[in-house]
Amino acid sequence: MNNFSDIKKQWQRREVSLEPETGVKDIIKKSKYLQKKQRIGQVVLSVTVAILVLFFFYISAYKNSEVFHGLGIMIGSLVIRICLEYFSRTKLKKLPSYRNMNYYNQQLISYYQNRKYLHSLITPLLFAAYVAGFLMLLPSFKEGLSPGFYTYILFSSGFVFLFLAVFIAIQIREELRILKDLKEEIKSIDPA
Amino acid sequence: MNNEVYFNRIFEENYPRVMGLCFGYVSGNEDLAKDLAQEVFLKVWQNLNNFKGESKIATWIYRITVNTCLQELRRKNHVSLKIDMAAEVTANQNEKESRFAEMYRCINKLSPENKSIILLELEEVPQQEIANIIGISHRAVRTRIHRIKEQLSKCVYNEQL
Repeated sequence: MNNFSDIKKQWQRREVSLEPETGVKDIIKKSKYLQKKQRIGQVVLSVTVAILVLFFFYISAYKNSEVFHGLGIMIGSLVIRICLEYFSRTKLKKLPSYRNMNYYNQQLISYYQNRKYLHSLITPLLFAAYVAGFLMLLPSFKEGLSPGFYTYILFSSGFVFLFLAVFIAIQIREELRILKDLKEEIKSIDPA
Repeated sequence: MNNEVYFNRIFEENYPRVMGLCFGYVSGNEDLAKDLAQEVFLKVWQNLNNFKGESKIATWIYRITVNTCLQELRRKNHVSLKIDMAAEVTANQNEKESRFAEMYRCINKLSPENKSIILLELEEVPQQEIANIIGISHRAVRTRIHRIKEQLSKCVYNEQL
């Protein structure tokens, strides 16, 4: 098998199962399910944002400026992050996979570069704002809660923030790897 | 023509081509290839209104197949695939399976773009269409195919020694 025509003959003798297990109806059903899931996602997102905003105004009735600002910062950064993530993922799904490979790869690079910007600047800022908002709430917690429960909140939130930071870092690393792969693919393109 | 009827027709006509190509990308792993083929046709259905007839429908579907397979492989980082391949090679396998494993291994050594070009060539897609799918000139495809053929033959031949 030392020439390409032999390879090609071998290739055509592969045992490829060419009978589809799922039919057109299953694909259309899946597509409808995904559309429904997207709509549910939109509703859940809107409801979450509405609840957080309403909760913020409800809490603001206490007129405690530290709680007001702390909670406002936490809710604001969370809402911004959720919305950014939602729109970003929707954008990825809408990239034109029906265009030629080089065009699609350029679009993917541009998408992941925007994500890199989001991860390197916006995400740390929002995360820092979220933690800062929480820290602003601590004096009120100390005042209003038992020392035991206060200590519990302090340590458990530390673990939660650490877990969140690790989770976000893993996701960022994964996306940066894809971006690196894509850039290497583009670099390896032989102009011939 | 009703969209569903039209989709049914293009599904039946193009499924073997899509499956054949996906099979190459995942080194003959049938389950992965089937999942990819389903993903491809899901995108075909979702984007059917974007098909303007500027190319053959088969070329348009091949574009979706190439882009979907490459992106899925990037996302999955091929770790499971590499493990599968290693397991296949060490198991007692007959000569035919071993030859295919070698072919897949050699194809996997190519860059994603060259891999796409040679898989399309092996599926007997005309070179002009390959150019249209990849987004490079016909001349570049011709030169590239010549080079990859040599590279692939050399690799498969050496693996067999």
